[in-house]
Amino acid sequence: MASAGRTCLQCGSDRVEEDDLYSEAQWVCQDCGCVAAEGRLVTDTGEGTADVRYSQTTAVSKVPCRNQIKGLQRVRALCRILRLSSVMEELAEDFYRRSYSHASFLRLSLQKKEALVGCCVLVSCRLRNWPIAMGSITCLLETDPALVGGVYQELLKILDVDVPKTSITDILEAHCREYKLGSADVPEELAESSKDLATRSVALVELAADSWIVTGRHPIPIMMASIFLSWQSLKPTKIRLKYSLNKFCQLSKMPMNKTAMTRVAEMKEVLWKLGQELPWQRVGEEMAPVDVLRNVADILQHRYALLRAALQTHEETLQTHKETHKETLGTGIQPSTEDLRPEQGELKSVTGDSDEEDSLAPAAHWGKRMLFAPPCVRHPKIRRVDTAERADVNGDEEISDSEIDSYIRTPQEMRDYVQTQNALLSEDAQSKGE
Amino acid sequence: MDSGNEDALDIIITNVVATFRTRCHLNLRTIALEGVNVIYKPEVGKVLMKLRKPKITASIWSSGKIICTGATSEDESKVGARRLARTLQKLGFRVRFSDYKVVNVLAVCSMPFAIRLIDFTKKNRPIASYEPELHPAATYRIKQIKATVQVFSTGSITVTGPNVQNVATAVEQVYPLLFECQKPLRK
Repeated sequence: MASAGRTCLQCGSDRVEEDDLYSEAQWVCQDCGCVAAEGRLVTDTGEGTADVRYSQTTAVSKVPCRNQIKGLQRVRALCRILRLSSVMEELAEDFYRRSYSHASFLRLSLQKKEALVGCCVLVSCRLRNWPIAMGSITCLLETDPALVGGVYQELLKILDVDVPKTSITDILEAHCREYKLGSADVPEELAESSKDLATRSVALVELAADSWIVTGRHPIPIMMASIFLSWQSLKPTKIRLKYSLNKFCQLSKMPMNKTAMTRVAEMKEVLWKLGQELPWQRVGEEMAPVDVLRNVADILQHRYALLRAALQTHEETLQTHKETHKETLGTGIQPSTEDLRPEQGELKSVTGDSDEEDSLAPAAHWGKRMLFAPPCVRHPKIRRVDTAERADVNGDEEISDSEIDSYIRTPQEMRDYVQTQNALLSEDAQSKGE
Repeated sequence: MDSGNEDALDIIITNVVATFRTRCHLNLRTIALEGVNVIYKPEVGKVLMKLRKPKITASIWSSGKIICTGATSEDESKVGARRLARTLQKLGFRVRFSDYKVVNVLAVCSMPFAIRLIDFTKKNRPIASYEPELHPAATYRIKQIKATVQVFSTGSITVTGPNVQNVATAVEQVYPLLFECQKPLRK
C-alpha cells in the first residue's frame, strides 16, 4: 500500500510503497526502485531513547566482598560460642552489614574489622540485656582492649542506638559458671557448686559497691576477687584458707589477674571493718584476719545493719575526739598528737585549731573523715601546688635582653656542642661496626 | 574563677594551650644549634623549646607556626609566647608576633561529695556516657560552649574548653546535675 504524501526524490513519482526488508520498514519507489525513506532502528520517543549507563545495563546485584563475608561468618561463630539466640545473631549480623559499608569503617585495617565483629555482638547483647563484659569479648578475639573500646564508641555513634548499661551482678552469674570447681574437676573438699558461689559472690559485690570498691573499676578483677573470697568462706577449712589467689586460678583453670589481688585485699579490709561490729565481738579486741573469712556468712546476711552500726560508731569516735581536743585546748595543755590520732588515720594539725582543718583541700578531708571512701581518696597522691606568684602578669611586659640571651648559646658553646655531637656519632658508628 | 553560688569550689587551671604565627620561615637546624633547652625532632619536623620563667613548652615548626603548652593562666601563656618570639628574634629571624589564640584550657575541680556515676549517666542519657571498662570517669559533653567534663566518682572533675570563661560556665552548668546524684553519707 502506498503511503500518502511520499514522493520519490529521484523520479518524482508518488507510487512509493512500504516494503519490509529483513523486518526493516522501507519505502520504495515502484517506478525507479530507489529507497525513499527507511524506518528507524529504535523507537522514536519515550523511555527507551534515553541514554543508558553501561553499569546499569550490565549491573549484577551487589555482592558483598570477601572480607565482609568472612566477617559475617565470624559474627555467626561468636554468637554460637556465646550460645546467643537466633534473634540476637540476626541483629548482630545486621549491625555488621550496616557498619561495614559506612565510610568510617570501610577503609580500616583487618585488625579493626575483627574488633568490629566483637563490638557488633556486644551491642546486640546489650540491647537484649544479655550480660557480657567487654573484657570477655576482648579475650575471645585476643585483641587489644583499647582498640575494642575505640571501635565500640565509634560504632555506637554510627548506629545511633541507646545501649542500656549492664550491672556487674548480671555478668557475675554468667562468669561464675566459667570457673571449673565442680566435683568432677577438683577434689571433693575443694569443690563448690556454681550456684552457691554465685549467690555469695553477688552479696559480696553488692557490699563492695556500697563501700566504694566497684565504681569506675574494671569488673573482671572484682568478680574474680569476690568468687575467690566466697569460695574460701563457703567452707573455711585450713586447706582452702591456705590457697592463694594464684593457686585458685590454676585450680579453676582461669587466667590470673594481678589487679584481683588488690581487690581481694580491699574487700577483706571492708569485711574486717564490718566484722568488728558483730555483737559477739568484744569491744576493744580486734578480730584476727583469719576469723574474718569464718564470719563472712553472718557479715553478709546482716550487712546493712552492720554498715549502719559501723558508720554510727565511726561518727561517735570522731565526735568524742573532737570534744576531747577542744577540752584540752581550753585548759591550755598541748597534747601530744599521737594520743589524739584515731585508728582511722584522721588528719589533725599540730596547733589543733579546728578552723585550720577547713582550710585543707575539701576532697582529701571528706575522704579521710569517712569510714568508707574510694581507695584513691583515702591514699591520695601528694601533689606539689605552685603558689600563684604571677598575679601581676599581663601580656605587655618588658623582656630584658639579658634574660633572652640566657636562652641563646654563645659561639664557643656552639662549637663545643657540635664537637661533642660528632664525637658521640663516631663512637656510635664504631661500636656498631664492631 | 569562682562563681556566685559555690563559694567553696576551687577551679584550678592546669594547662593552657595557645598558638601563634611568626610570619616567616624558621630554620630548625639553626634553632637547634644556637638555642638552649631545645630538642630537635627531625623525623616529625619540629623543635621543642622549653622556657623556664613561665614554665612553657613550645613546638616550633619551620613554617612559622608555634604551639605553646604548659602555662597555668591565659596571661602567663601570652607572656611566654612573646618571650619565645623575642628569643627567636634574637636568634636572627625576622619574627612578627601575630595570630595569637588560646586553643584549649584544661581545669580541675573538686566537689566536696561523692557522685553515683550510673545514676548520673541515666539522668543525662544522650549527653553523658560512661563505660567503666574503658575509662573510670563519665564524660559529659556540652555542645553549646564546646566543653567536655569528665566526672569521677570521687567528686573530682576535669573540664576542657576553648577558653577560661567557657570552662567556668561548664562547671556552673554541671554542678546542679552532680549535686542531684550525690552519694549520701549514710548507706
